[in-house]
Amino acid sequence: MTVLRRVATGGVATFVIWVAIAMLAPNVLGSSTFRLGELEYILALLMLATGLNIVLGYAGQLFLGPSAFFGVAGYAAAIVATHNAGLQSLWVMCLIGAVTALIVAAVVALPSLRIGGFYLGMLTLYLALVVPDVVSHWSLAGGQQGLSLVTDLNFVQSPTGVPLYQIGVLILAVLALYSWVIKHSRLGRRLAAIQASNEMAQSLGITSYSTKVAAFMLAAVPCGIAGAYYFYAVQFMNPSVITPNMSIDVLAGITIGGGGTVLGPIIGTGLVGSASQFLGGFNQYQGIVYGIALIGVAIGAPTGIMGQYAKLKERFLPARPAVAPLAGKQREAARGAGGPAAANSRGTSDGSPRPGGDGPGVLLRATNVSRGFGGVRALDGVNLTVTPGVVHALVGPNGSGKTTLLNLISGFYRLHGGEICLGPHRLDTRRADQIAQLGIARTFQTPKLLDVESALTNVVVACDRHAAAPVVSSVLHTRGGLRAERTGARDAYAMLKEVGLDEESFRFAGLLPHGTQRLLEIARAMALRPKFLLLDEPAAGLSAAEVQALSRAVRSAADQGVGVLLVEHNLPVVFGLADQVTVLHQGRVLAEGTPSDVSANPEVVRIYIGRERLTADDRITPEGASS
Amino acid sequence: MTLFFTAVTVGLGIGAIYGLVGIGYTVIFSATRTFNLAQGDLVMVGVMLSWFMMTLNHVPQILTLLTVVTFVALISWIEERLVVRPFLKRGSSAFGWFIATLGFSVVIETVVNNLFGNHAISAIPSPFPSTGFKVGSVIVSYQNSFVFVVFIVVILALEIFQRKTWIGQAMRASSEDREAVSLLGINPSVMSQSAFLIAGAIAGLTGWAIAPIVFSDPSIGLSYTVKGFLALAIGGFGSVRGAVVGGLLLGIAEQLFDVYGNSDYEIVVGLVIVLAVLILRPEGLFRSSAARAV
Repeated sequence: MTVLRRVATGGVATFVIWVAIAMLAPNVLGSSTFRLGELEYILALLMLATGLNIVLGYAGQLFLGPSAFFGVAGYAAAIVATHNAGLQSLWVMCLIGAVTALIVAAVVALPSLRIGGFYLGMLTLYLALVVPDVVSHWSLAGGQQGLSLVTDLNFVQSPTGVPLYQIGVLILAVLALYSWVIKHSRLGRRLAAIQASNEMAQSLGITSYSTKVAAFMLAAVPCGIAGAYYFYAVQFMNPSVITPNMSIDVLAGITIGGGGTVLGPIIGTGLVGSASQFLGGFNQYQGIVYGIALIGVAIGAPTGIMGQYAKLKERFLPARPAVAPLAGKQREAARGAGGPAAANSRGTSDGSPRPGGDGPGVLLRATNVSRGFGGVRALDGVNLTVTPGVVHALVGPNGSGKTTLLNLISGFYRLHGGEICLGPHRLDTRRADQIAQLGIARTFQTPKLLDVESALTNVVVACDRHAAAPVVSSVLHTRGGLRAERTGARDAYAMLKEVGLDEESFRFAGLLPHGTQRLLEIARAMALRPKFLLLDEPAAGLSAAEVQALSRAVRSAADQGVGVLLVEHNLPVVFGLADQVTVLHQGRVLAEGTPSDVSANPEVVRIYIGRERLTADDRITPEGASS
Repeated sequence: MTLFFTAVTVGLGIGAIYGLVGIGYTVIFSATRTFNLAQGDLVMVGVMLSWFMMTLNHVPQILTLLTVVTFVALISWIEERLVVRPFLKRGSSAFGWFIATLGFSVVIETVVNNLFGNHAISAIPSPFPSTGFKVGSVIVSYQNSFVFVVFIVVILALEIFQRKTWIGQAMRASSEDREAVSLLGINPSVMSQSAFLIAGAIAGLTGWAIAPIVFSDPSIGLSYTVKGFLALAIGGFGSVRGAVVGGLLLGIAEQLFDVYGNSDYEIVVGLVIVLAVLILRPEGLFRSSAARAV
């Protein structure tokens, strides 16, 4: 039971205490059938919130119709149970609920995630309208009256009363664990990457469509169980239970509590659910309060109660460094990587080869590449070849097409003419994530990082690409999955050490200085074990010391056989670092050659207005660079 | 065939409502790249205010119309100032505004429910006779045709506004190339406020026009919010043309399904069409330049 052991090292005591308190709630609040019904309704809402949070909180996808899944699952359980006395057990109903919710999730998610964004939001919101409307007309579902087991003389509710409520608490506890396990897995990191930036996720080789579909399916399960548990406990299902207001309540709960955390949605929805059940006169006005809360939280505090709690903790407990959550186990794993052997092996502790398996000498070749924006030809018949182990700088004035070329190679823009190949593979027909998977890593002009995760986790996301165990084992935290997690953390740590960031491993990436963030991005890109590394103006805004660290990292990458394409404005950096320089001007190649060839080219000197020629002062030779 | 053509003519009227909501979205989307999820509830406010003025207080039609349009436009403008502006200033690409405008719609609905929720749903007077006119064997209701006329008028007025006025041209251009417009020095805040005022006025006008058809039901808002969006998803995102075609198609399809299928499950029609469109032609029937920004 590796899962339990893992939890045992974390906040297991807190977890048990909370479960125990929840179990004892009827002792304080009363255990009449009516009161238990209220409590069980709140439990169902909490289960629903736990499911919704996986899509909304972890992956940042607008899933706004959880009540539809709740309803479909609850009704499926109800229809089966009212027609078949043999299928009236709680567990059978939960199974039926979960399976039904999964089917509906697939029907909705597969098409709408193709576009995603607010399409998904609107469609799921529409679903929240469709389900109650349809069942209210459907005779099998009992129409407006709904379905009830109360009058079914065959039905024996067992467990019943307080134990039934307590079983609900346990189900919720298991679902919270389920949510935790997803969050702290390779899948959870991928979801976080997609939420942070779709481009970033793609650049790390993450296929966002299938990852989002996976999140949607995983989210459907708790929603389905919630509906089935509710029906079993209350023995009653009717269209007025599953109005869109239920979705709004849960949405408000998650937003208020803080999406993306395991506990936030439970706290927030607990507040919302308790208010609607126990504050009678409040019901009439709760829409105003929730509406304002939704607006307020969306505008002012996107991380809800949990985010505010973390901020307060940081302010009042300054003795503790800002360590990203659950870094403890990673820290343990990373310690194992402290030795020099691990660092020297580039952190590829399993020594597996670079992806693609095309051998070492593969070239990155852009042939006759053209791309226009409106009427402007940003690139016009550009040829470029990058060789492994070579630092190839791409320079030129603003608007000369450098970044455009980089975006074309990495698949973020579509080509209008020509072709881009990596060895035998055409790149320009592939998606960005496929290109990354073929071994092209990149950084961004403005670093794109998981701000609220540790620096280490940021690199682990990239190491995940080469994890030895499948995603499922990572989610299930099996022995192999955990081993892969440890290897990932170790590799990531070694990678950070290589760029000199091992000291920052456990700090939040978003709180690191700008220059450090760029180095972190390079460490992350290198953790993909790329064949080619594309750097988009990495030296912009860096201090002299940071530039040196950057130069060392770039040189070391090239020494390991990676071809580096460096888009850079800072000519001294370029001339100190590059083996090969291509100068772009107005979308065409103006000059090409070694730094000294290019700096001697009168055309090149002329376009850099105000400079007669480049002098020795422009050069800095980075310390430790081996060239 | 009479049945068929009756369904189509009724569908044109209903589709015009979806189209009007969709146009409201398009106006705001092209100026701000956000979406107002309260659009349907603003229509609902138009309906309820018409009911309050005409049924309860016997205010004349014209005065009601002017008040409703002004009032709803004002609410929409307030929404822009309080709810949407922070997101525009932040320039974030996340969907916070989606949640925030949804929150605003919940507030509106709750307020209206608290004010008028206890009243029985009742009729709202129409300026037209409750009968219809005959085209061949098909009887066309006056009020339904009137909604369609309003729809056409709004489309034409918007077209003239976008061609003839400076701010309209800016909005039109913005739907095609946002960066270029900001480079021309057009204040994005003015554009965003105008868009919300216009979309609010359209919502108010729509509410007044459909009031005699839908009665005083304060729960219709979310349904129009979503149906208006479906119109856009079907027709194609970001263009008035997409909203018009998508709205009419959806309206007619629903009515045909009512006649030849089962009116109890009318609500499923939109879902099926949209899922089919997403599978076969994700950018909608009419592609527009703004669609890729989604």
